Amino acid sequence: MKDFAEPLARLIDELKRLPGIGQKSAQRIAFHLERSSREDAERLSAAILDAKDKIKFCSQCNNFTEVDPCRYCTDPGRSQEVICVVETPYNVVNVEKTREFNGRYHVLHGALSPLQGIGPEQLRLKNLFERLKGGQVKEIIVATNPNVEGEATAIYLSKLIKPLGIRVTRIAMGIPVGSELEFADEVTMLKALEGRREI
Amino acid sequence: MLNSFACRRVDISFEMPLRETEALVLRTHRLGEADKIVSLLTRQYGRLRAVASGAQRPKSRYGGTLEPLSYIRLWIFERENRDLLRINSAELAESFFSMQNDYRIQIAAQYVAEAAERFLPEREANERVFRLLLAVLRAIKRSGEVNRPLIYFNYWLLRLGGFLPDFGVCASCGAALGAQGYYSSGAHGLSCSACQLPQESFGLAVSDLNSVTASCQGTLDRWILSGKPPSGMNEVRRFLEALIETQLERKLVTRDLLEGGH
Ligand SMILES: [Zn+2]
Ligand SMILES: [Zn+2]
Repeated sequence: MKDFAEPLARLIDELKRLPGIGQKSAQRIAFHLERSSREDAERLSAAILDAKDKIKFCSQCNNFTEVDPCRYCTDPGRSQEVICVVETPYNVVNVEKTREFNGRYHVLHGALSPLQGIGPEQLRLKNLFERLKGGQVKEIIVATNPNVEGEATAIYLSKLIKPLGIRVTRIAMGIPVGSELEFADEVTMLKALEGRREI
Repeated sequence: MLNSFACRRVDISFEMPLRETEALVLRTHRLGEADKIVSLLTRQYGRLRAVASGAQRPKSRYGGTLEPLSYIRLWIFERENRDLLRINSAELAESFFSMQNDYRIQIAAQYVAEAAERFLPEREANERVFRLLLAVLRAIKRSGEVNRPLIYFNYWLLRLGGFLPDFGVCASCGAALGAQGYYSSGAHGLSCSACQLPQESFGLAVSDLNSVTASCQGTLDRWILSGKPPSGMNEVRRFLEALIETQLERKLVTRDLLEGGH
């Protein structure tokens, strides 16, 4: 990091710690900030601190929120019968973008990952089971990631929830839209076959 | 394919010719915005770490190939003066994805991956260890059993590494053990009742260890097909895992979860 003046190098180092930001992106952002006005930089740092201070976990669904319970949990227009379980608050945004889901959410803040020492105790599960006690919930949609950790989490949840008489469904895994079967590996193909539907 | 790959990389002149090998994926880490670092146990070259470009992208050509514990065939570039190799392409030979259906089996399989990753030195070819891992994962997947496959794995990992103690004698005073040996955490073997430390020690029947030793001389499949697991297997497994942790001088995170009994 000798190529940059020390304060700039420090900014790049901090930016690099953000998810998905590599050396090149960090440099691009740092140089952009350096060129922008002091007001712009102040607005950004104030926004970061404001979000950090004002955002908390929703006590019902663990989503990030300014008010507790969050707007998803209190919106009377959303069904209380379906809960979509996701790994991160960002995944709520992914599901919301479809504009097709009108139930509520539950954010686990992670997935079971033995190699990282993440077991069931490290996930935010307790308040999910409290929500299921009311008897209003008819279906849980498990929308964890389609990888080893996400799948293990989904199976684990279904084994705990199904005995309560609640339907547990898993989002489809398989061939990405816009790609071709020719390039699919056998796990992906198998998951696509398992998740087939009648048309 | 090779040419377009070469054109994209500036440092291609340092890359050595392509090699083909079979491998088990031990674990993956994200690298930057689009890539993954894949920790591998290869049949021909031992344990390696390699970069898979673009593997984080949703439409990555790797698909589910690089998920942990996949058995794959891969083509890699060696890069001069670099720790990390580069994966050119990979295809799935056998998937262990279905092991996620049972949480305890998933933990057992990840224990195998973690212990192998910690225990095996990088770039030291050891085909017997590769075959051991493959046989153990297949046995866990097929039988749904955890204890015997993990005992077999631990036993051979220790033995191939030269760290298996003599089960017949006390590791402290060298006296022959009677019917019972005791294990205290941090020890390199069993103690007799005189040398046993009162805290944190648990007892093992020497006859259980002898029968395990005999069973481990054959194939794992034969052991599992020989009938129900004998009693005392939990203690034997915990003892062998503790020996591995002692050798590593560190805790294995999957080991606690294995004891959790979820
Ligand atoms: Zn909420
Ligand atoms: Zn002794």
